[in-house]
Amino acid sequence: MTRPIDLTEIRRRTFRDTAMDGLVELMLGIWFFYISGALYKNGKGFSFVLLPFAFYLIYLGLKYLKNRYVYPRLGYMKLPAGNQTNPNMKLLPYSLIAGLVVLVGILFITGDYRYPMRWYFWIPVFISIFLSGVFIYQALGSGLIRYYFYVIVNILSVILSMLLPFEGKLEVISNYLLILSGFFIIAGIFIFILFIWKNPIQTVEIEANNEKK
Amino acid sequence: MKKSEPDQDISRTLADLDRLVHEPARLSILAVLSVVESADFVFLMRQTGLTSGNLSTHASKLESAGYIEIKKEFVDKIPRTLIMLTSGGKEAFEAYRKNVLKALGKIK
Repeated sequence: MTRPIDLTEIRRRTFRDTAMDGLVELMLGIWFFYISGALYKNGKGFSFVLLPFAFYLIYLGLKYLKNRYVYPRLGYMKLPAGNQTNPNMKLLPYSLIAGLVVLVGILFITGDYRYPMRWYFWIPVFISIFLSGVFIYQALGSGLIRYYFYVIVNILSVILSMLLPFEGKLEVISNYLLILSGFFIIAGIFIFILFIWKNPIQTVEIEANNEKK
Repeated sequence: MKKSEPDQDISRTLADLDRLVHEPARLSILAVLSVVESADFVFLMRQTGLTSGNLSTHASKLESAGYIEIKKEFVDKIPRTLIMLTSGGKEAFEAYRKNVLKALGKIK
């Protein structure tokens, strides 16, 4: 039995499939953890030089997990080059602009624009607004409610990171990314396990037709 | 009894419908493929709700008509069968959509 044909719904389902496994959360969590470590003690933490290698290793790990666990369950598809799956592509640049406007606004309201050395304190706010835009974009495109929850966690993380004691200029950003990374690593592992449990591997009988070729 | 002009129009439009595309399972396959660049059998099965046997049969018919292309590739030594719409398939699907909308528009 086939499903009703609704191209908008098919686009939404297709987009949702790319976010079902929780691997993006896991990857984001590990990235944030590494960047947070690199910024720790004003850049005396993890090596920044190794950052591209770390990113590449994480990418390879993600690719392996996708090939090994995700595609046999959900199937593989490639989205078209010109993204036509998301209903609201304009949201990303808007969230970047909104983040910048809020950052500049805060600097003026607090009077910190006169002290460039204090700007670092507000950078997590800018990152947080941009990330919130990304999560809202994902929520609108996929219809997954959990992305709205991420927006709330994101806002709480930025507030918490500003309340925590910090020594160096970069540590407020490091604290913020560390809180987010902890959340995303746990969320990613949990969603991934749930995904594996809920989606058995699909069996396909296609060989009979393909062998003829 | 002779048919009126609008009735003849509807009949003509409906007669123009591509029968190969008109079948619900094949229409569903083409609709899913129209929003992605390429997809494998598992993905199509999930999206269309067809069984693997059904999907395979309809895919063969669409391939024979030149509407889809089936390619095999290896990713980390694992075979992956990819299906994609051909330009003929895209045109057929679009023409079908237009014809159905045209015919429905004339029904009051």
